[in-house]
Amino acid sequence: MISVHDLTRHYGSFPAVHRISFDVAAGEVLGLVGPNGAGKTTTLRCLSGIIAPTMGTVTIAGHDMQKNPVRAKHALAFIPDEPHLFDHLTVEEHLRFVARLYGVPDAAQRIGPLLEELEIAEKRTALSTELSRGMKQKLAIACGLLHDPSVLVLDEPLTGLDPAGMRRMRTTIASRARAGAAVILSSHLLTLVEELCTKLFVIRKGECVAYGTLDEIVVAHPELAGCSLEDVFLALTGNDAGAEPA
Amino acid sequence: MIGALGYLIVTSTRNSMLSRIRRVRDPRYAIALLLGLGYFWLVFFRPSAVGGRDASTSATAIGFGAFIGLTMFLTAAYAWIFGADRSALAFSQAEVAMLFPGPISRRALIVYKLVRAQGAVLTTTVLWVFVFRRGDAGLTALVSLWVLLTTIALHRLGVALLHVSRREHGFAAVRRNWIAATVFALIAATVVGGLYAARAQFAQVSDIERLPAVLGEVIARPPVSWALLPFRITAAPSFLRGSAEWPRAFLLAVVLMLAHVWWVLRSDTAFEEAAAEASATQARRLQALRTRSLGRGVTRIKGARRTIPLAPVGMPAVAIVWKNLLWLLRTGQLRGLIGLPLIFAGAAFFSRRSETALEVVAIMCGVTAALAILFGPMTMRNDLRAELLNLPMLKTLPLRGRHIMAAEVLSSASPTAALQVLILGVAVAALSFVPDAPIPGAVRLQLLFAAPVLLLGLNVANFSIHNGLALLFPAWVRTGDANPGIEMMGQMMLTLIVTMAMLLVMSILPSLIGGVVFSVLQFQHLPAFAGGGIAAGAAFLVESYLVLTMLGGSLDKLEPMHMG
Repeated sequence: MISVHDLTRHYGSFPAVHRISFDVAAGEVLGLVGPNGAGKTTTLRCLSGIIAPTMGTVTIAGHDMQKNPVRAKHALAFIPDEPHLFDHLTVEEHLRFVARLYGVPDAAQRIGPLLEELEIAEKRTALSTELSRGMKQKLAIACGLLHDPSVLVLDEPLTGLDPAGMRRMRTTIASRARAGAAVILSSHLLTLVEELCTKLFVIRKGECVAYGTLDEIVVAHPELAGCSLEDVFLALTGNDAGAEPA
Repeated sequence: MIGALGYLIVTSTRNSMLSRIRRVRDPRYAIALLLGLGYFWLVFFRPSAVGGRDASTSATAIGFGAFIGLTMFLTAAYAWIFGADRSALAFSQAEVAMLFPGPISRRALIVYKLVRAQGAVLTTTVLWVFVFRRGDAGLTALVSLWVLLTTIALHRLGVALLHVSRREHGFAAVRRNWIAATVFALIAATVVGGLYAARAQFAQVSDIERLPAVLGEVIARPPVSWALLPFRITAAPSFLRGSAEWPRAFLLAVVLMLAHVWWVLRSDTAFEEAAAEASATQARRLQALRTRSLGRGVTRIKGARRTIPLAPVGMPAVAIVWKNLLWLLRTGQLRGLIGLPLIFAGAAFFSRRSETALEVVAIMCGVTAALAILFGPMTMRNDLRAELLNLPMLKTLPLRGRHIMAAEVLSSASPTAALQVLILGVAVAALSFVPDAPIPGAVRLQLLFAAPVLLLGLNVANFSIHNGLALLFPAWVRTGDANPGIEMMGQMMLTLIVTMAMLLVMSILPSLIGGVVFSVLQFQHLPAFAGGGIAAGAAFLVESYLVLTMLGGSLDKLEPMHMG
């Protein structure tokens, strides 16, 4: 579903991401983790077509993001950490807008249940400017899910959500993966990553420092055996001061 | 606190300037800068440009000053009545997040806003004096225009504060601003009363060309001339440069400017006093007002429940046009688009017994339609220029750049063209009651028939240029949907010159094609005006399609880091 090969992105002479490669199959959830400034957002932006790679390829559902961006984006939903919404559209109008962009013929039937699922049905006629931060995040998530994407790219999806919303979001991500979507999840909430992700991609200074299931990573780094994910993360990203074997 | 705000202003300005200068390393910006410098050299340093004109003491200039006074009054009256110009109170998101919760008084925020506005005022002053007036620059010109623009900016801010206060505290807020409100009410009543009293004089005008002269006589006579005195005082130094009267005129203008400073700061105090009297609920609303109303320089969102239907399937790019039309609906601009032709239609109806008045209405319609080409893109910004601030979202849409560009441009070009067609329709209808109208009836109908295609083509070309400039030079062109204030006039004028020059270039081919079709049809005694107009409009559309295709490629390559 998602295939990234030798992805490199430079800002001027600064290499934000350097030759990273990974694959995410249908039903898999890849956790993209790394310290601040490691290159996570740059990677996600390349994946979603916001910026172009300096080198390498990104393939979404069999479509090269550079050569066939429209088809690739059609299969994709990118949910950023900061929701980008239109000030002059209501909640429901956002979904109608997305429905037309992605050609969702049964949008009218989908919108109601989706809004119920994300607990924003009562805000259906509210303008986005009238929503709280959490509600905006829920609306951005609803917009991402409406067209039933086969690839989900989530950047800190729980930001701004209340505890109930966080639990619901975790369930939603898991159910989408079970339904066959390939998911990439970037988060600093390692408990969330541990709970949902089937694979990890640890990035530091733009380069891959570990990739695979947690067991595979521990096999590659025997000194981390028995460590918690947090300790594994800190050790791999060069900040192992707090690492404590269990 | 003042030190912190001063530091913020100085460092922000310095970093912004440095950032813009660094942009010149990009060849695109370097070429644009060279072109700009070339223009500057042509108008400023070439021998014929030095010396300039000095019409400041001429009767024409003083008469012109009277009309400027009337224009300034009408602009101020619009702000007082509708109070829609809330961009005067706009703070950036960072300012809202960091300054509003900080230990800073509201007055300090207003002073900060005034000082920040001075950057744009000074830039406009320098641009206007040195670039647009060529060799007619000097210290007196600079300070005269600076006082004029600063006073206008202060007036906008004062009126905007009063409207915010009125919305929060009702009539009590107006009562606390009673001096300013009374002064303006008296001025308005005197001007309106004076013009109404002179209605017989206007009715006697048989030659339309005499109308400005009659209007000039009326506004130069007491009591209208007294009422317009504050506006003329503000503008006077700009028209009396080089004369012995300038020092006195300048002193009066400065006094008026300082009176505005006092008014704005007092408005602020009135606001705080009213807020202190308010209940706890009102205090919470004030906080919401500070974080929402003051933090956003956009027009008020209205009519959230009204909507426009959109089918879930079909051309995806239509969704962008739909969204942008909802923007017009929600900001009240759609009402303005419908309202303007209705006003002209009403004026034509009430003038139906006077041929001169009908001709005046028709001319006003024509002038308004023409001005919409010039200034339409400045006010109608429901297109890519507003979207560029949201570029990451735009880039994730499953659409080609050229389709996004076409949808964005159509969003603003088609309502502008529709407005012009409606206005021209009123003009044609008005002239149909004038037996000896300057344009024959058959030609009028042909022009009206061709107008939808011609004006759509012309506007698509025009808006493509404006959007193209924002796309190619995002760090230099103002983005967002807020309308600028008069302090941004310098940048607006520069943009206007560049875009008009480009539109002229784009008009060459359509004019040739339209001309050829016109000649062929006229030779064959067929409706030449209609054919020529439609052919020219179609040529504009084809040209624009090619331009938008190229711009679409640029949009595909544009990245958030390219933004200013």
